[in-house]
Amino acid sequence: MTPKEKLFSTLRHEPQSEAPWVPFAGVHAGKLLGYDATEVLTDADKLFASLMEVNRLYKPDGQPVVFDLQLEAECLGCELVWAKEGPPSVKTHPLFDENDPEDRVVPCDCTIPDANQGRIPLVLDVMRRMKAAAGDETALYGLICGPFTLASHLRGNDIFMDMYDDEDYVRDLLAYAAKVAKTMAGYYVEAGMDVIAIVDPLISQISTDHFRQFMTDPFTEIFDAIRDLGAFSSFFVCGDATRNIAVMCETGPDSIGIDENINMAEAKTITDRYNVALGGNIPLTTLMLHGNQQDNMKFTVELLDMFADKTNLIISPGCDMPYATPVENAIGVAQAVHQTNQVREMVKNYQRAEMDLSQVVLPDYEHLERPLVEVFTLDSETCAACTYMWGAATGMKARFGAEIDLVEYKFTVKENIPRIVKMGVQQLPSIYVNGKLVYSSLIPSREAFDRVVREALTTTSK
Amino acid sequence: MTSIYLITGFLGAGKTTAVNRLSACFKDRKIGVIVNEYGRTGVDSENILSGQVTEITNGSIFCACRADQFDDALGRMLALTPDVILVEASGLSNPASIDAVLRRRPDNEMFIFRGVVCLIDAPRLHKVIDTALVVPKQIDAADLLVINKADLVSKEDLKTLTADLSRRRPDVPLLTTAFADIPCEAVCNLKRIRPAGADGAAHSQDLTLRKALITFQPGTLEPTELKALVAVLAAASWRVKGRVTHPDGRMTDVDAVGEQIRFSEADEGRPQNHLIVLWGTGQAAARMLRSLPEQMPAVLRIDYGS
Repeated sequence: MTPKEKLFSTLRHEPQSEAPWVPFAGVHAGKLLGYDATEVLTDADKLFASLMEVNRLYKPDGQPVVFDLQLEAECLGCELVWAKEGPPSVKTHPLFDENDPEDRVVPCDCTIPDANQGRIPLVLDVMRRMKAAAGDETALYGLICGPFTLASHLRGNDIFMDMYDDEDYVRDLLAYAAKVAKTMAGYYVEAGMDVIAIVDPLISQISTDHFRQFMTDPFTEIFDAIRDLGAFSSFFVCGDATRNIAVMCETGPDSIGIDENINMAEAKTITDRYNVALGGNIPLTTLMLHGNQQDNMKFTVELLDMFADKTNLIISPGCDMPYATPVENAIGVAQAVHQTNQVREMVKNYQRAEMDLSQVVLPDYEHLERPLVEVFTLDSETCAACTYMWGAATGMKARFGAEIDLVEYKFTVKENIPRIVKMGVQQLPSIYVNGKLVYSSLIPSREAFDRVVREALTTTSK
Repeated sequence: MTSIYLITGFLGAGKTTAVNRLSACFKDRKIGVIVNEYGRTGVDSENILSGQVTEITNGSIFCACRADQFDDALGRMLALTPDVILVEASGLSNPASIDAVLRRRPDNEMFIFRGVVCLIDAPRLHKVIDTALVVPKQIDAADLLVINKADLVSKEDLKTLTADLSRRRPDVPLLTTAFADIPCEAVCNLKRIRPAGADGAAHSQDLTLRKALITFQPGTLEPTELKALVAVLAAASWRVKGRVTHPDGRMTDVDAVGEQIRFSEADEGRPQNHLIVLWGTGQAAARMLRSLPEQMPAVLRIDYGS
């Protein structure tokens, strides 16, 4: 059986004795050849060469061709901010007018990107080249920005308000975003992609009721369309979406991808009920970026050993691998997947170094001069859920000004990790006010957040 | 071999005058003209002698969504083997994709693309460049910049404007004119200088553009009411255009670009009761239109587009 067939068999839910391995090397692929993130996302030759290097070094059963959730938004006129070590982020939201937030516009279908727009031709070109060069052995993933994340890119943080204030608008905008996703899926399948992954990190930031109300229909429609195109499908989410795993399964994907914010064993009991494959969830930052090779091997072996039955199981990073992930860490994971018994033997006496928390000094929350809002994110510049959580916080700061203090702690900054551990932060992104958790993986509406901050203003000691 | 020229510029910059002027430059040649102005009703057709006009309505040349219409119009025009084709782009369109659109035509050996002339509205540029996303894109795609209506600004303002534009595009010629009086040699010698590959690659939609069609109850709006309404709407939008029939049966054509408002009595054509309003993010038209049906009983309905 070729590596590709092994993954296909898992996606067909056939009994397995081994789990396939899908490294999500997006911008990280460029690091292997010394290209920065912007170069691999804008230069077809560099992207292709980098992906071939991923294929050679990490021996994947499946691999994505490009991991950039801003690609569709860019075609639709969102301005991007480019980075050297991460995918670009969205700077402007064309469907939001700050002078008139109630001007809620749904773009006409004539604006759905054609195959010549933005960076789509570049991506299709590289997909075709990857198909020819590696497609016989390796399953190729075409990644598409999920409708909710795309709607947020277009409308900005106000989409979370719109879900309360104008339900019809949100439904219409998501229907438009779903049409964009289906169109993109058509381009990607035609260019040879075997699996179409709908990547929608923001799904972790809404309640199950809101999922059923707004997401069930567009996602079901998208997965039906991918099935009609003859491809496999996946539904990627980031953040703590535990509450939404069941409703995600009900939309009919062949597989679901989760990150370390979700307990893999717990999630698999749910996905197994629906006979949906589950992929995940090697921690991106603590392990892949900041851990060493043995940490990565040990984690992977333990992850595999959690499941006696490997049916419907895929091993992958929690999401797009950090750009600077040391090569040996991903190789370690690959080895642990492919030669589990040997690696289990190699790391059986290995103990991970304990984290030193003694140097972390937390603020004296009982004696603050003014309310302190701390936002703990993976990285607001590269993770969409974090971008919009941080957006909610900076919006609040703009309204309250000097009355409150606001700070972001990014998990991707190594020095912040002990602080995040000491604070006991369980999920990213989270918002704490005066040291107390108020929002965990749930982006607050403007009104609710303002209420919390006003309350803190009355209780904070002066 | 047909020479193709593209005339761009924001609404009201003087593109139509420029097309008429340029067609005179080629008066001994066989000229074809493709115009594309939202809501235009063929006003300039008769001015183009021995020319051929194709209008693309309800679309935007080089907005990807209407590229097919432009392709068809160009194909029909090329079949007539003119020496020159002047293309007037929509004032709201981003011309960045023109090279890509032309290059992928199967008949691309029948023509040579001579370049983009971009008209700049001297009195309004500083206002629109920050609010209308397409304006900087139009300037960036130009091979010749023409500061038009220079007679309407002070010498000092003109100097600042010229300096700003030269800084932004030091690589292209910059002319200053009034009434789009462009010297023929500037255009006859035009050469497409934009490097290949820089075009179209990142072409994107502009979702910040909004449009609405106001429909009035037939024959209910008095001329004074119409004028008051248009004055308010024009100040809050890029463009207001349409025709309204009054209670006494007379008809008024409206054509407003920002503060330049033109009302003219229409003596022929079909009675209509519509105004098209085009605006962008940051302008107050949407807010105004939301409350309009309540304030003005003559309004039958408002349809929004995007």
